[in-house]
This record gives sequence, C-alpha cells and structure tokens, in this order.
Amino acid sequence: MHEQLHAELWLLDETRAITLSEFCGASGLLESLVTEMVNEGVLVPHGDAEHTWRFSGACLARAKRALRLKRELELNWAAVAFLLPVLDELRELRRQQQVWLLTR
Amino acid sequence: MQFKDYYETLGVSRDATHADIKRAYRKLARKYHPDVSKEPNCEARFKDVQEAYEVLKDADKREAYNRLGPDWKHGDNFTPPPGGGPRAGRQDSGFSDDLDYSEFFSQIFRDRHGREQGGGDTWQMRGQDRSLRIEISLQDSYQGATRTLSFLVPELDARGEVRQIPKTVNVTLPKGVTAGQRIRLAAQGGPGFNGGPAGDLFLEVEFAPDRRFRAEGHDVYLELPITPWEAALGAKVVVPTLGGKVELTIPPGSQAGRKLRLSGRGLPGQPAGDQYVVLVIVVPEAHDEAQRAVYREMARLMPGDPRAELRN
Repeated sequence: MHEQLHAELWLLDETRAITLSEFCGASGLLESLVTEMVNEGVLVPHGDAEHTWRFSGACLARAKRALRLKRELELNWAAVAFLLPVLDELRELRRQQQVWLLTR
Repeated sequence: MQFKDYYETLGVSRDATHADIKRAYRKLARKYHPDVSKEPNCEARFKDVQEAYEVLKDADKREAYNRLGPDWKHGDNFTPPPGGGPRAGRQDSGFSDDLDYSEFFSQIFRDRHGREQGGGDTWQMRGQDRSLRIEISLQDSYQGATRTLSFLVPELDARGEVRQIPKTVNVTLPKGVTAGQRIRLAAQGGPGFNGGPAGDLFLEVEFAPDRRFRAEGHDVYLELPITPWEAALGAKVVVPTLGGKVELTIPPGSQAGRKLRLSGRGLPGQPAGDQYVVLVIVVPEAHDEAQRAVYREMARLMPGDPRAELRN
C-alpha cells in the first residue's frame, strides 16, 4: 500500500505564532499538560496570561523532544527544562568542532 | 522472528533486582541516548535498551517474559505461544513516536490494542509520529529542493497486530532552510487507529559537508586563499557563491582572517543571509635563489615585529 502525495509543510521556527488551543490541536496534547510544561519552564510562549500565550513553531518540536526525554530518561519537568538548553549547546559545540575538524 | 534476550541487552542476570535493572538502564541510557552518545549506531542500541527496560522494569511484563522460559538465546528463531500477554500501552497522550517496538515485543504483548476493542467502539488512538533526518546540500537550501521520503509506518490490522506499512511522501523544501531546522508535515505520520487522527511527520534538516562553503544559520562562509601581494596591494578576485561567481575587491593592507561580507549572498530568508569571505594568505615557497632573494629583500625593506604583542 503505497501512498504518494505532496504534503503541506510547516517550518517549525520562530516565524509562526499559534494559540494554546491551536498548539494542542497540532500536537494532540492535552491543555493541562501544555500548561504544566509552560509552568515548569519547559516551553516558553510569548505573552503572560494563558489566553494571550503564543507558541512558536519551534515550541512544537521542543514539546515533542521534552516528552521523549522525560520518558526515556525518567526525568521530572525541572530536569527536562534544565537539560534541553544544555543538550542544544552540546549539539552546537559538537557541530562547531566538526566544522573545525573538517576545515583544518 | 528473533528472540530478544532482554537480560542480555541490559547486561543483568535473570535474578536481577528492580534496582539492578534500573541502574543498568541508567548507565546504558547515558552511553547510548542519541542526544548525548557518540557511539556509532547509538539510536538502534538505545531502542533495544529501552525496549528491554520497558519489559523488565514492570513486574507483570517481566513475569510474562520469564514465562517464555530460560532456554531461549538472543537471536533464536522464535514463535510466540498462544494467548496474549499483559497490555503494554502507555498513558501518554498526544505525540506518540514511542510505540516503535520490535516485532518480538509486539507479539509477546500483543493484546495491548485488542483489549480495548471489547470496551466500545469509541476508543481511538492517534497515529504514530515519525521523525526523519534529511541531509541536503547547501545548494538545495539555496535553490529549494524536492525530496521523496520513504519510511515504514506501523499500522494496526484488523486483529490489532502491528504491521509495518511502507509509505512515500514527496516534500518540497522551501528555499533557505537551515541546519537543525525542524519541519512538521501534519498528518503524514502513522495512520490513526479506529478513526483517530494520523500522526505527524517531523523532518530535521542537516547539511551535507561541503567542500567550499559552510553555513552558520543563514550566513555562508568561504575561505579564500590569496597571495601575500594580493593581501598587501589589494586585488579584484572572482569568488564562488551559492548563486554563482561574483567579483570581490580585496582592500589593500588586508591581513589573514579578515572577513569580507557579500551582502545578501547567503541562504535565502527574511532577511537573506550574507556570505562571508575569510581571507587565507598562502605564502609561496621559495624554491630557488632568486625567489629566496625576494624574501630577503622584503625582510630588509619591511622590518617590523609581528609578535610585538606577545612580549611580556
């Protein structure tokens, strides 16, 4: 059963801003869970109050990654919030090292 | 189907305690978790480790697994006994790229979906999300590219068993995607169960190493070898950019490492990136007396101490 189609795509970057309910629709996550992730500092939307929150496309990828890490490493949200930027930095440093090694 | 020795995977004995199993998992997770590991094949290894832990940490599942008997060896050809095992579901809602178990696992714990069917027809499950890494060239990002992605999605058949269905999706990548960029293709992941919505497909873009260019975000860097006289006297040279050749003026008195900016010549975007040309001065070797004489003449006419700042 092969399916061949042209898919519509969404760039998960900072250019897109979506509301909490759009975010839940796109991710399939419960509002309570997304709210918890925001309150724990895992997700950082623009806006102060829940009804003014705007999530970037990048948040969607981040939420997905956060849930995966939490489960795989049996972390609590505080650890996930701490770990995500550290992993990003590790990745960036390794990438730079790779570039450096390639150009020497 | 091959038997999986979960004890061997975690490196624990069959009578290991819950604490032993947990400790072994933590250690292996640190070693193979794809976000930190430098081991080759870490993704596949971590998946095996995770699956083994999923079974052995849960008393019911471990018991069901143990009932298969102690005589199986890892990789043995295995046919599951009749009757289902305990349910292996998770309570996670939403994103579900975690249901990626081996065929062996799905067979042992096969009623995990089936059990729900008696309860009512309203039970639905969102399809599985898929993540794929795609490697593209800088040129692809500059011009926009089309990719045909083929992957397997797990689908539940009428008996509630998991089957891997091949799926092909054509994706037109917009111009100016950057390394690390994630792209979501809504509903292009695994199909939902019992009318549930399909999962999403997530792509993560990486650039193939390029002989000439490297990218930092939307900016593109090129190292440009020049001669000492081009650096000293200035020159007009032709340099490659992703969009073709352009003429670049090297100002007189340029030093190695100087960055010259070609505005808007990087990857497309709002705003477009720039191309930076980093000067590398290539010193010609002196092979004969006449050539050595030129360097001596330079030393005489142009004294100076490039290491002045290193004093003290």
